[in-house]
Amino acid sequence: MPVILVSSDAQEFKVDKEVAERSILIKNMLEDVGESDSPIPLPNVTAAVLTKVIEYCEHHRNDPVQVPDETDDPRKRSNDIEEWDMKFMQVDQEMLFEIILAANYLDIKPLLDVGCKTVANIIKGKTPEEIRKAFNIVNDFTPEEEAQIKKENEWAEDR
Amino acid sequence: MLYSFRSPAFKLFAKSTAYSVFATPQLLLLISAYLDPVDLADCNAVCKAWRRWFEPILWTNVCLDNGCRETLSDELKGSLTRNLPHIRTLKSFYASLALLQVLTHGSATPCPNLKRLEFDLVHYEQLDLTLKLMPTLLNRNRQLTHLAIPFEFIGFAQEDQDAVLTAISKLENLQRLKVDSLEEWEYDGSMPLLLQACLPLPKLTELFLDTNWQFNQFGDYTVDLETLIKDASKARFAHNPAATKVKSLRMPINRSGKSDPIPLLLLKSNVMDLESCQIPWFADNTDSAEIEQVVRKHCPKLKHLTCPSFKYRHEYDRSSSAFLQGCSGIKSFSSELYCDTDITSTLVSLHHNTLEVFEAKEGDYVSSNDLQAVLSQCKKLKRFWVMEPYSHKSTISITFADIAGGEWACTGLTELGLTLNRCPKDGNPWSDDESGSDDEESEDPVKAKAMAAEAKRVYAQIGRMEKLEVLELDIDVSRDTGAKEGDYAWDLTLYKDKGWLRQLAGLKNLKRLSLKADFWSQMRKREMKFILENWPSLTEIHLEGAP
Repeated sequence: MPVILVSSDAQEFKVDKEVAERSILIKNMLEDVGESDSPIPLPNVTAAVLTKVIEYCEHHRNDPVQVPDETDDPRKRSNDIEEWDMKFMQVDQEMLFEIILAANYLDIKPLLDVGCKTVANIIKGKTPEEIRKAFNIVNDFTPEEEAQIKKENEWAEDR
Repeated sequence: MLYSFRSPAFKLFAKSTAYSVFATPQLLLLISAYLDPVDLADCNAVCKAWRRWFEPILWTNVCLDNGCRETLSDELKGSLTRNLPHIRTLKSFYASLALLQVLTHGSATPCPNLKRLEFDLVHYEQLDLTLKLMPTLLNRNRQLTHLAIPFEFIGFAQEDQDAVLTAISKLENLQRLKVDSLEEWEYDGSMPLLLQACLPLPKLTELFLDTNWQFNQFGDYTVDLETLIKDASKARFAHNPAATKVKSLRMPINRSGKSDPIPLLLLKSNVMDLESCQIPWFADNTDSAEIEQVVRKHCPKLKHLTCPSFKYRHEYDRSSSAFLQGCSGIKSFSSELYCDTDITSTLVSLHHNTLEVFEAKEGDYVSSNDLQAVLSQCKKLKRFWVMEPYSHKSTISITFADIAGGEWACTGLTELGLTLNRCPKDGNPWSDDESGSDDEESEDPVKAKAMAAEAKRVYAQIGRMEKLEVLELDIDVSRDTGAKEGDYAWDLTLYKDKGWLRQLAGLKNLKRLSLKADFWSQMRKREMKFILENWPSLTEIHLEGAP
């Protein structure tokens, strides 16, 4: 039975229940409501973003449920994004962050992980100036503050 | 520090969706989990908003290793002091006085989140002063779960060291205690005191005593060790009979040649339920059969063994052998040194059904026969690694003729480093062949054909290891092997009858490939294309040397 999702700008999306349930939020809602064909409002997600999110859930509809990894090492790898996801994430930065917010709100863990990995990969290996450029951020430090921070952070550099 | 939320730069960034993501704590943490300290430090220097977000994360895990500093710069001291509440892990090569002063400054507990504290060394000239601060530091941080300290803080049985031991005995949350020393120390009776302090700790599961202590006074223990260990055990289980036991144990390496009763007493003790253990040194007069029996009876869960060395010290051979006989189902065996001894054959014959990891930190080479024995019998083997001293490269040396014969059973292997050696077996007809492979015309066609068939079998064996994630190939030219670098040049090409890259097509999980020059000097575009098409998981290729 299909589920109807309504974006914040009032667009309706008809998707398979299995696809919609990739979102734990929606899955829980459906379980609470029981059999019902009333549309589900998603006031935090615009149609443009919801289109992308549904595209992701369609592609991953048959994925097994993710087991949380309990490795001792808190540092995770970000270079293991699969090819389809990598292409899927080739969007402008605004959309990238919108997808992350939506994945967080809708509780779609794998999508959230891929989004965060993508952001981490943008940051990795860049100097502060390059990061500013990448995210369109203006440097609001004085040269003295910058020098001070550089010295404070010395222990973490060159490793 | 105050941040200006009204600055124009902040306003511009604050409008973006990126801001909403970074400003959500759980999302910030998720992203940061993929970043190294270097990246976090760069993020910290981007702008004021980023500094506010990333500084606490950067300071969660602090490692003051680089530069091995004795003193702290004013800037570091300032930011360290400011960020003490964020620190969860603090590793510093030196337990320097300046650092301890920051950590014990004032009267309150400045680092409530500190769980792991690790020091490697202490400066002798600072020892007296740092010793005075250590008990305070430990007493204020009873939440510690992991502690590593240099031997000097607990050794010598002096008053100040006693205060440190007393402080350790109150670390109720401690799970791992490591006492380290780069120097060799004369043993002086501090071991019983250390055991007395730490064995009763109810959560202690890992006890690593990584020192090179000179045990000079065995037999001169002034305490009754058996009673001491029994009392410690009683204390441990007094409040909670079901308290966890010690699962991992490393005893000091004993170079004195004198007998130490402690290892055997510890193995028998109720406090231990070992899963992993560094094989201790037992005196010559200890009965091997007794060790074996104690291991069998008291360490039924022991699955992981490390061996400090078994090349030069016969004693370790004996105790390793006894451990291997006493254990059932060893999963990993690591050694400091590798060499051909009976250990390999004992390990393989008794534990081939369970062995997953077999590694040595230093080794000249592994003989093809040992390799063949390991690879053809250990079905669950995932990692077989013998490292060349200092280079960390694998030096498992194989002779084609030796290993092309038997079928390899360890198709689950994920990491393999091989140093190939085309040296034929004794009396082989092409052993004195001087020609390189590129003038095959001059070779005896029969020899060349046999050699090619052998090479093809070797690569086919490697190709069957479909789980392989790391593959390193090197060439053994150092020894008098008759092998020449040029002999390998065509191996990884697609050339008919002399290139065997196609045999490796099945390595779909390969992530890292490392090759010496001779393996890639003849590789061209079509080989690269083949590699990229057939090994989709490949993310790293290391090519060494110039052709």
